[in-house]
Amino acid sequence: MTQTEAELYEQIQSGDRNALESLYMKYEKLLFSYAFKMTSNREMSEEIVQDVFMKVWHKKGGYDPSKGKLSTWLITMTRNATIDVLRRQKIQTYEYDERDDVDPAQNAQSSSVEAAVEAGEDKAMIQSAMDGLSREQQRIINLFYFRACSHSQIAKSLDLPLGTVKSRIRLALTHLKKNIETVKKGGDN
Amino acid sequence: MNHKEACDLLIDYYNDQLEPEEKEAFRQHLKTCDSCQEELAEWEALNAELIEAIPLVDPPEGMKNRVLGNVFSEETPQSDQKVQPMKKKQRSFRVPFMAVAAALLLSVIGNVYMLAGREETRDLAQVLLEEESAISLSPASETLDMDAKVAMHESEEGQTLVLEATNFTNLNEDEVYQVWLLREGEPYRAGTLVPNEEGQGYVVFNLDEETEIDWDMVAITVEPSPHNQLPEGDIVMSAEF
Ligand SMILES: [Zn+2]
Repeated sequence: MTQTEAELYEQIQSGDRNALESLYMKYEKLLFSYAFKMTSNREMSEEIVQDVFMKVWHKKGGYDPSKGKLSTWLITMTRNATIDVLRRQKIQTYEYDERDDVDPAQNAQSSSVEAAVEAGEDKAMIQSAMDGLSREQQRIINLFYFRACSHSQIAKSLDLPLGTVKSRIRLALTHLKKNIETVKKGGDN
Repeated sequence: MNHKEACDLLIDYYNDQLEPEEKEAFRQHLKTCDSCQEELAEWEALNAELIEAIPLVDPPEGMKNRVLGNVFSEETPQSDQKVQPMKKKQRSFRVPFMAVAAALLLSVIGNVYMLAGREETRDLAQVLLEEESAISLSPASETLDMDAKVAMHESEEGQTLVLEATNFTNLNEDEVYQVWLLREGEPYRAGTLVPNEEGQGYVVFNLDEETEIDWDMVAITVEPSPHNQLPEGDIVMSAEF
């Protein structure tokens, strides 16, 4: 790679349209897929991606390289835009359904016939790390990350006291991280 | 609220479930709480890893052109500044303000908390959020099903009109939508509305800094030329302040 993402972002900040286009090309599919995973709606997902790039282009100085990767920042922005759109569409009235029981990858896959699944090595690793979690831990991650549920919604749907939700999330995430590390090292969890 | 109670709001902060005041309060907490900062960064990083595992979906046909087209066309209102509706010198857009305002409008009002932290944004957000200050325009005829909402932002730098329009379609070749502010029947040109393919558009227009006018009315017309200094075409929507 001849150019770091921080450099690319700097060019975007200075108003370089080609730089924004490069960034767009690089992340369009990932961010669209992510928005689609959370909304199951193609129009909304396009709007979300546009929202994100609108901010990248106009809200100068929003990204701080010392605080993490550009991709992480873009994903967080996409996530926030998605939550916002979902709330606006008022389809966030949370109801438990069996989608919460399945793991995130299968979830999106089964929720859309349009989903074109591309198997990748990273994906297989993460998948395998997810598979290594208990059913409850998979659910908590799904509710927390992909359904963006509130603290009390998570408590209610897992039948946990409010005070224990955070530690359960922590536990599930620690477990997941450990599994990812193990899998990446080539071990079998 | 004690420290631990504040930390307990992290989940709702991350999933954007807090009320505006709670959110602002939590932001203050976050500034000083290392453990919340760390945990939030960890959540974000791990989420980014998880995203690697989601099924990839092909974006819709033509999405790139639409999205980049819309993003870049945000800057077109600046060309309005060449037109001098009144004798007084007209301010140029301050880009950050416009950018924030544009992003804000595009994503509609619910989004403003995310952008808070800049005074200008917060001011604008408040203007837009207060129900009594955001005004919905009424269509001139029953058969028009377009929607538009306007808010006037006032600051030391002067007044800014922010207008959001949806369902603005059916323009003929060369026609444009123009926004006007009226005071005692006298129109002041307040920007050109350029809707996208979906009929959505918005205008962010800074008025002359010396003007501190109590406007009577806002109107949108269809004009045969974008440079008309006075309205010639039909009013499609209007509202009284
Ligand atoms: Zn804390």
